[in-house]
Amino acid sequence: MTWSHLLNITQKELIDTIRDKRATRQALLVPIVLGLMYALINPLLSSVFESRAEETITIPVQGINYADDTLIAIFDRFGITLEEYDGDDMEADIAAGDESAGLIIPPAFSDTVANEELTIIAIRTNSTAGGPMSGNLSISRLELALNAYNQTITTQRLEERQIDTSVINPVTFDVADLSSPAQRAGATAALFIPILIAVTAVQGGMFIAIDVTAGEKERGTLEALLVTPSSDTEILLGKLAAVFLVTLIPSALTLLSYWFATNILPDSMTNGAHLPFTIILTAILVTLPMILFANILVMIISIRTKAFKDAQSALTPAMFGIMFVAMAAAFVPPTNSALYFIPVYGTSALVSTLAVGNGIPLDLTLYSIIGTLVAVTILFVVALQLFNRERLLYS
Amino acid sequence: MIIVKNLVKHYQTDQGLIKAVDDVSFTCPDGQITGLLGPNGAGKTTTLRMIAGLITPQSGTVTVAGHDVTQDPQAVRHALGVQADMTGIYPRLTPREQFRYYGRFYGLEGAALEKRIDTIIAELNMETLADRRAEGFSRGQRQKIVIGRALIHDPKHIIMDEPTNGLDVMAVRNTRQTIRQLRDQGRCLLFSTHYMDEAQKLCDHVAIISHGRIIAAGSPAELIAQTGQADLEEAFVTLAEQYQAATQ
Repeated sequence: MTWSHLLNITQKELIDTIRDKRATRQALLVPIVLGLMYALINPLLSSVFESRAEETITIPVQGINYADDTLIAIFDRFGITLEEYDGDDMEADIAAGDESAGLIIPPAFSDTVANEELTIIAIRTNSTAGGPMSGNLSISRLELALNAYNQTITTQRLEERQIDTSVINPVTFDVADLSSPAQRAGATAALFIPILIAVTAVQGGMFIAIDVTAGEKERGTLEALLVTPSSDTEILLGKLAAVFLVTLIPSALTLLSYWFATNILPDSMTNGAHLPFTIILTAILVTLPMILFANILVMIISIRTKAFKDAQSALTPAMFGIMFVAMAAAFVPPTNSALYFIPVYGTSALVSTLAVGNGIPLDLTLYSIIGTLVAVTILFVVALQLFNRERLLYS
Repeated sequence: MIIVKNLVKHYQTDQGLIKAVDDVSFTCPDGQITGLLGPNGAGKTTTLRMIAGLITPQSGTVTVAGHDVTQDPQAVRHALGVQADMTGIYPRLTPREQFRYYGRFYGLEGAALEKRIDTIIAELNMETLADRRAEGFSRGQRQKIVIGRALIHDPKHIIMDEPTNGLDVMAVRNTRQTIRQLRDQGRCLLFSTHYMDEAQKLCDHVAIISHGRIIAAGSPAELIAQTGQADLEEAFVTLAEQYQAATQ
């Protein structure tokens, strides 16, 4: 192994990539936007939910004249204005999504309630009306208001009979969220960061990985490189080192922009949840082997293609495969330690645990690193077989 | 000197066995231009790639400056300058940077490398191009980079695969002039071409290859005299027809 050959290749590939505006843009801009987007999406959604929850909604009612004052007052307390439905077919309007919900109050409703007889208010809903958030929020609020009405009537009846209300409410709950701000931020990060890391591990180095393999073939520069005294191993390692170094930039930038976003948002949006920098730093470190794994996988696929576009098409399934495994780790954590040996899955699960802020056990970290590095070694041997001079020229 | 002896390379394809190179032998003396002549698909590129150590022959030997290409490919690569079939360049690097990149593979560093780069730039008249990124270079300008990188380590043996293919008239003249200069410097040159007039003008010695076999060898004048034709192109056609008749 002549290290100067390896360094020469790495240096050239880095200069070549830095001068490529398309690659530089992809390496710098995309990760920043991606990190910010993922960090903002949760608080923004919460913020929208909260503001929607505070808005007054109007619900059409068939038979509003039959409603008693208590019902109207309770709905009003929950920000729901009841108004008489003036169309032809309320259920059809709700099914069409024109209304998210409607009530049908039967005749003599007030009398039936007063007589302590069973009565039914028909609720018709469409959870998709006005978008999933809007419909679901309206329905949830409607249900809360109806429960409150039931509770009020029941309490009135118990009081009339001089029975303590604790008969029907034996337990009341005193709930306090004891999670720290870091834990609250980590709960979201545990879902998003493994996926972010997987995306950037594949996407961040994809351009240069294709350029140094299929790109060399497409440009017609490969043969000139192969006739030099550098060995197949030196060429492959030199190129892999360049791909790895370039991938580190978007990977780190994505996580840093995620961290930055969670720390600049006002507490009103984040509920005081701030992700500590040490978690981001540790996440970057523990994912280095996974980045190398993704790099060499992308290079293997690219080596087998002849042109940049062919490589991009061929890489799409691999990218989705890695993302899918990372998502699986975020939603279905490993049930035993051995699963941490699985490349991508183990690392993603590790990062997920790390993000919650509980620290990561050393043994699981080692399992993840060892498992991934073994896979990297196997992939490197495969890549070396494919990087054989004769095979490259005729593939 | 480059000595090729009984070189064989066959490929098994879906269409059957392809005898890309079939028992090819020839010698390229130092200080001479040897032309490997043949139509497209005759086996020129495969032969040159075996000489450069890019492809392993099934049998036969290639020695470059006394080094056997299968036993000591690194020594052969150090001794050879190769202008390959694929003549791409790196568009985002300047010619100087590209020469520096290739020069480092041959152990050149620092002042010695920079001096050699300056020499190449001067020899190829690239002073105005040397520090411009190669994006948008003409075919002729690109060809200068391709030749320059093959010469960066000052090799005594040079192989060129169709060096004038696709170039305009001026670029062809410049390339031929460079090839003559290299010969005059005492180097051993082997180049492939399917342009017979080019071979007649440039070569001291030619080996005619057809269907993977050498069907004739000698100086252009010898081959013309042997066939009784007016020029090398007619001589080539006659030899090819004679070979075809003999093998049928």
